[in-house]
Parts: sequence; C-alpha cells; structure tokens
Amino acid sequence: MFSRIAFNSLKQTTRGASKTTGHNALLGLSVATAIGSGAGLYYLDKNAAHANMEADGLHPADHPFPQKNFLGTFDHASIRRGFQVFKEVCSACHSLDLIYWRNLVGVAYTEEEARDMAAEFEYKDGPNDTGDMFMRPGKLTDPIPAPYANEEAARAANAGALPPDLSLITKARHGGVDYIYSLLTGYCDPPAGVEVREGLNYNPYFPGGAIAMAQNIFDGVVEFEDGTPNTASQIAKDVVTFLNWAAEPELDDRKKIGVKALLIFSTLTAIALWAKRNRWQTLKTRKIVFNPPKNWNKPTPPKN
Amino acid sequence: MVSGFRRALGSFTYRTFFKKESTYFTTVIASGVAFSMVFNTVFDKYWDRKTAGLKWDDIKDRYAPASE
Repeated sequence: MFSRIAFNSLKQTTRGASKTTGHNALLGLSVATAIGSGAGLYYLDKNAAHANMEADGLHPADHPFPQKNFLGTFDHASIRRGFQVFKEVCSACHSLDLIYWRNLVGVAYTEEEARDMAAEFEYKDGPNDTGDMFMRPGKLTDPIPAPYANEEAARAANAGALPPDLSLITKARHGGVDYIYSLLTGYCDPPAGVEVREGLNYNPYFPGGAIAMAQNIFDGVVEFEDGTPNTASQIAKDVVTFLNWAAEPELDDRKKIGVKALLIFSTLTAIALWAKRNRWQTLKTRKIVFNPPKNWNKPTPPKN
Repeated sequence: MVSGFRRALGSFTYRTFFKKESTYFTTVIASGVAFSMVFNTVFDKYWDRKTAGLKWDDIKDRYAPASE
C-alpha cells in the first residue's frame, strides 16, 4: 500500500515523465534508503554503549599531528626532541630493536652526533685473536641498545610485565599516535568503585583500565636543547612523533611519491577516457539504414 | 589559413615522428624523459616549499659538523 502511495506521489512530481523514469526514480530512492539505513545501523552498532566498554579502552581524541594529514610530513625537529625523550626516559625499560644508530643520520642527527651518541654505549663483539668476546664502544652500524638481555630479565625487573618493543608501536596499536599520546598523558585517579590492584596503575585509555606502566611523562622531566618549553604534553607529543617515525620512516617519501603518482595517473586516466570515446565516436554515431528497392513488397508476417 | 597551418603542422608531426616505428619509439622515450625531468623538478620545488622548515635539510644547519 505504501509503495503504491509512494509511487503515485512520485508520479505526481514527475508528471510528464515516462513510466520507466518513475520506476527508475523509485528504484534509486529505495537503493539510497537501503544504503543509508545500512550505514546508519552499522555506525550505531559500532558505537553502541555496552556493559564492558572498559575492555575496549577509552577512545582517544583526534590530535592534530602534522603527519596525519593526507599531505602532511614529519616535523624533524620534533623527531630529534622525541629521540632525546626516548633515550632519557623510555629506554630504561623499553627496547627499540629495529632502529640502528645509522637510521638517525640525515633524519634527526648529523653523522658526527650519531657516532658520538653510539660511542657512549658498549657492545659485545665477536671473538678476538685469542678467542674471547670483548666489549667495544658503539658504532653507527649497531642497534639502539636494549635495556634487558631477554624477555625473562625484562619481566623479572618489571613485576612480571613485559615492556613492549617500541619500534612499531604506533602501527601495532589501534588508535596509532592518538592512542599512544592519550595513554602517556591520560593517567588519572580511578573513578569511584573501580579497584586497581597493587602494582598496576589506572589509565582509562588502556584496554581493561589497569596498566603496569606508571606515569613517566611529567612537566620538566627532560630539558630540550633547542629551548622548547618542556611541558608534559610537549614531551609526549615529541616522543610520539619519534615513535611514529621509528614505525614509518618512509612516510615523507611515501607521501611525496604518492602525490606524484596520483597526479600522473589521474591525468593518464582522463586522457585514456577521452581517447577511447574519441576512437569510438565513429561507431557510436553511425546509422544503419535500409533503403528498399522501388518495387519491393514489404513482407508481411504469416497469418495464423 | 589557421586551419591550413594546423593541418600542415599535424601532417609534419605525423611524417617526421609517427610514421616510422623507429622515430615513433624514439619520440615516446625522448618525450618521456623530458616530461619526467620537468615534472620532477617543478614538483620537487613545490613540495620543498610546502614542507619548508620541517625536513632534516632545513634544520641541519643548526647542528653544523665539527669540521666546519
């Protein structure tokens, strides 16, 4: 009944249009309604409130990191400050196994600076002439040193909890840079009625709410050499930018090449579409005409 | 007049570049190389202007090497 009312009202508004147009309009309207309601229901289902939202962790806010924009790239001064924060605060517990001292050259430090920083650490090197292993100062080809020799040592030193390697953390956590930033700055007292057991800390952004890591980013924990004010939010922003670079060092080049690719391919696509239509014009506009001879009797279908 | 010039230009282009397969191929490669050089130069200049102050090259002068 409603479909007939809808169809008749549609016919009124499209008076003069053919029955096919009316059918097409109604079909288009139904498809749009189906897609719209499907999208709406999907959104509502994803964002529905449920009893165990603490298990998902509080959804982090959308922070304006410049590298998040479609054409945005890293602020390399921020990467430099972020590595300083990592070295002074985070490297006490977290490893950065996939980053080598040479990766910092040309990104945040000059070659001399990176070499000097690497030389501050000692690395075990291969057997010498008498067959003994020996310690030597670091080189550019060495990895950023890890605080613990293995997972067991890390767990033993941190009450059973393993501080994860941070080389890929912004890609490995849902929410990315926003999540890491919110986590670092989001420590607060648990709400009334929420109990956090001894040894854990309350952080609403952490799935489950209870994280083993205590708050480490406070105002003034790090002094920046370039004079940037060292508030907790600035420190967290810089270390998150550094971690994002560590996980995605190719981001600057990827976006530059990506824009070039989009420009060239969209142009080529437009040219290809035009060229096809140009070549097909003769076929699409040809007319086939039957000119019967003068004394031709039009054949009639047989009468049955 | 103008259409005659356009026709003559088109005919000249066809005869010189497109008629023989060897010249056609050379034209394609040469114009590809030329376009690539021009496009990359222009785009890189635009991109560097857009990301001024953010890249390592822009801040490395603050940390001059000890040799200088």
